[in-house]
Amino acid sequence: MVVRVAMRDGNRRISSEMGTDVDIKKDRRRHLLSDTLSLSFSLIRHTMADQMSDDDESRQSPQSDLDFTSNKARNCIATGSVSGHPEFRLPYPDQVLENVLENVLHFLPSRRDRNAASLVCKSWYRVEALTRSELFIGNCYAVSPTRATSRFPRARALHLKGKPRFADFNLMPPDWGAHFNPWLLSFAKAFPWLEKVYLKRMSVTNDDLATMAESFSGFKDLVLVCCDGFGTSGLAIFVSKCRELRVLDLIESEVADDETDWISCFPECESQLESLIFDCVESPINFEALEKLVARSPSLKKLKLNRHVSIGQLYQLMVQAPQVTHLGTGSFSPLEVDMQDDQEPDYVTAFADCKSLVCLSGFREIVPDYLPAVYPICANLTSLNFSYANITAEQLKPIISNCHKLQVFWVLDSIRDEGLQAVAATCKELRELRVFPVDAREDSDGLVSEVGLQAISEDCRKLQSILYFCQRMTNAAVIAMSKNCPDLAVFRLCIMGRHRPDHVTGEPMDDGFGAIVKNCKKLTRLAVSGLLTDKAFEYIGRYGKLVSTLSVAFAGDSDMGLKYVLEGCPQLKKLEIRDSPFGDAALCSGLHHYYNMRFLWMSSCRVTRQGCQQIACAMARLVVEVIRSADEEDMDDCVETLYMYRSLVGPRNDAPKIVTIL
Amino acid sequence: MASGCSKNVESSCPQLLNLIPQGREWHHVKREDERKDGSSVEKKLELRLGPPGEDNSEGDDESLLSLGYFSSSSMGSVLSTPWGKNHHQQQTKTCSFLQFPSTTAPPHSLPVMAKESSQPCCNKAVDLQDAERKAFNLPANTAVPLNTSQKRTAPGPVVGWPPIRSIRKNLATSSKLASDAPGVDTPSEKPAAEPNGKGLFVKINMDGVPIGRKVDLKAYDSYEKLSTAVDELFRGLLAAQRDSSAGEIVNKEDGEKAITGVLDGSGEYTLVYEDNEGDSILVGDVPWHMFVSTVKRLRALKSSELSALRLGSSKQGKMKT
Repeated sequence: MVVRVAMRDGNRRISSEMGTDVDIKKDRRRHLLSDTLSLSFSLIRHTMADQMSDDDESRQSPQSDLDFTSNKARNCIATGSVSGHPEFRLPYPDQVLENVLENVLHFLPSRRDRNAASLVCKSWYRVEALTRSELFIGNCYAVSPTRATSRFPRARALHLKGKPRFADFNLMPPDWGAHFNPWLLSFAKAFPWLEKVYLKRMSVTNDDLATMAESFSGFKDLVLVCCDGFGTSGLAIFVSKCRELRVLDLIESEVADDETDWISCFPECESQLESLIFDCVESPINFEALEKLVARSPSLKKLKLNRHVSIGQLYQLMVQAPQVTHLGTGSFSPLEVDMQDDQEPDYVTAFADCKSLVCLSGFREIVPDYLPAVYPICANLTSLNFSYANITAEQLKPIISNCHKLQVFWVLDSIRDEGLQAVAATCKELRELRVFPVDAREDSDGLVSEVGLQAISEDCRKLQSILYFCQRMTNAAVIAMSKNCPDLAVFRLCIMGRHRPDHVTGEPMDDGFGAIVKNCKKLTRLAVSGLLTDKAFEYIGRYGKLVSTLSVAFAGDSDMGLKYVLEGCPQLKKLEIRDSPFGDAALCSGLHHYYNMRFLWMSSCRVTRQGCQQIACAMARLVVEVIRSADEEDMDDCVETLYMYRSLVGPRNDAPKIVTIL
Repeated sequence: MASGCSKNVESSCPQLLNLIPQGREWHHVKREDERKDGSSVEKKLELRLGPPGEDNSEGDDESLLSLGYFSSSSMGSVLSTPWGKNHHQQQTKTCSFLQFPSTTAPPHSLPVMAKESSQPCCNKAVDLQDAERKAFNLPANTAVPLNTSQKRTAPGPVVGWPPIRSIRKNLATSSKLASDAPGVDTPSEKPAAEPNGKGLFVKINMDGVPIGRKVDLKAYDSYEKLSTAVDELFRGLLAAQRDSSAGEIVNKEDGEKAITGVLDGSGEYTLVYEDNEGDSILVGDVPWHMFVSTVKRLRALKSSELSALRLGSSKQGKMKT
């Protein structure tokens, strides 16, 4: 039975040539069918994908957008004759297609592709919804849990993000929201088979952890990034009940010290643990229990210890788990007892035995004398994080000079420009560099400068992402980087002193950032700093066509700055602005675009309550939250903070009093 | 920041000063392209904390109230912002410096306030913390007793700026200094050798290399083989140490040279061991099997320094390698 499968988009058949003839009866092997269809489909995907946004929530209710096509015009048209078997019934076209589609769509993990597929027609929408296993929700307030669970009935993984990034810097009240609980309750009922939860900037309580452990019997992966609200007692319950736990990653989260020994609570039997990351946990742990846990976790590949694990203890763990690929070394300093004991271990051999080690971090309280221990594995490292290690260039050089394969490097500016030059000299494969300040104050001594940036740009040509904190910079160095590193997708420069110009020419930093947006054709994320006029924003609006995340602080002269950006950057999704002179007029210039964005944040700017109210009235699907400065003498009505985001849900009911939703 | 000032960042920043607001210095600070409308307003808000007429235009910086927080740049800009002297300027934290003379560091900080930075800034303005900011600011606002009713934006440390998560702050003090920790090879009376069925592991240190290794004496049957092992164990480490101290990045192959002559004193290093009675003995003196049965730990000392050691004495104290 020969079936013609053609693709269409809404009303139009895309092209009859893009269909294929497939004999279903003959070619019963479904994978062949899938291959054919996925090939055809990928052609479609390219044309459709760039019209789609990356979030589910961006669309209105899909039904209204779709065309209900009649049977005749449907995709799958059966032609040809049927064999004479009496029980054989011609399957209705949809059923064949849907079965086939299910197979095809399994090949599509990317949510952008899936979003595109779901828009093709109702049938595709349905099948895609049934086959989507990982739900990504970029703003937990943009859509309701029930909507998510009802559309995607077979989800097995949830990826949820809450607060905007500026919450990390104390710019939001602590009880602002982003509670995991409502999502958890909804998912616990709908998806008892849920396996994986990834949360970023959400508030999770101990009770939530307990509920998770109880509700999801086969739970495997928990990743909490920049979360808070829970403590070691919640962890204890969680690990004791999740018998199939594979991944427990606590990354940059705040974990309260409830004085509970959670490590001892892992079940005694052999564990499936593959990843245990707890370097952000500030409280001490039971080392003996940890050692036993590692010993009974043969699959453990990622282990990142907190600063309460000494180097002697690290040794003992490494000996138990030489198969690790990612290692966070804890304090990397000895306890008294480590030093007195003449049995001081052979750290070098321990590292040398970890032949699969590719990612190294930790060094929370480093005693640099021990650094040579890592020499044996430098040549294999692709990722090295020294961003908690206050080391000098001299201490860095012997290590970095062997790290020829390094792709990701995080470091403190204590290594100075000289250290960065050493990095540049060796690390030709560098993709991502982050330089953090040892002394994060506006007027601290600048330890790195344009010299370091220039050196990196000249030798690390494959650089894709950079975050650079400094006290002084020049346009020339930034321009050089824009030309030397064409693959740059993320450029975040933080000149810590506010409003600092190019320290050589005295000019604003407009030209530097202008060059970045102009020359770096792949740029999607940009953070600006230093003295910037509206010109910088004009450049961004004119050239930054792919910019999706923009971070602005203490910059610009007038409303025009913001206007340039809102009018010029079609891909803009996340815009966070603080302390810049943009007001209501600028705000209104973005009305055409706000539904395409995940959020807009403006704090300490010039927007007034009226301006915000106007926006709220004009756009029904936007939630506009304002935080006013609680000042009795408040004469005008500028708002302190404006945070607005598209949402299918409407105003939330869990906002603290300080937040007003217009 | 004034371009003039920017060039002088490293040297003293004369335009800036301390607390005593005699007014005019502010103008020096402003950038040419700055909006200047703030100045007159600011003038009205000066606080007089010191005797009038005192001339501070030299900016004798090591003021008693050194603050170390405020950069000239921030000061210039902040003071002249055109928008609203009312709220929502920087949520500046504290005017601790105005608590004359005690200056307390703003809480979230960073060591040592009295960092007499080359840009001691001063701030004449007073900032009123509004309660809300306190709510989600970092704690302890050292609020200023003297204030005006107007909320001035002081070029104080601003909430959330620089944008570093608090977990990454205070790193200047978190890393231990090498000098704090005693050397890794602090000797003790405990035996170094750990005989077990599988091997006889003995600790070995080399002068100039902070990190020790362990060697299994059961794997060798002669001093020559031991000597080769020492070369293998330390060649790479020594080369790396040399590279780092020379300040160059030397290719590994080029920079390494074999460690030889450890047994006869002809090389740069000589092997010495400590026996069960605490004596330090040159390796090679006694038959191998006797050596193995009495050795407790090994050291590779610089041959040039051998004579300085009193070999054969008991209770060898701290032999620093």
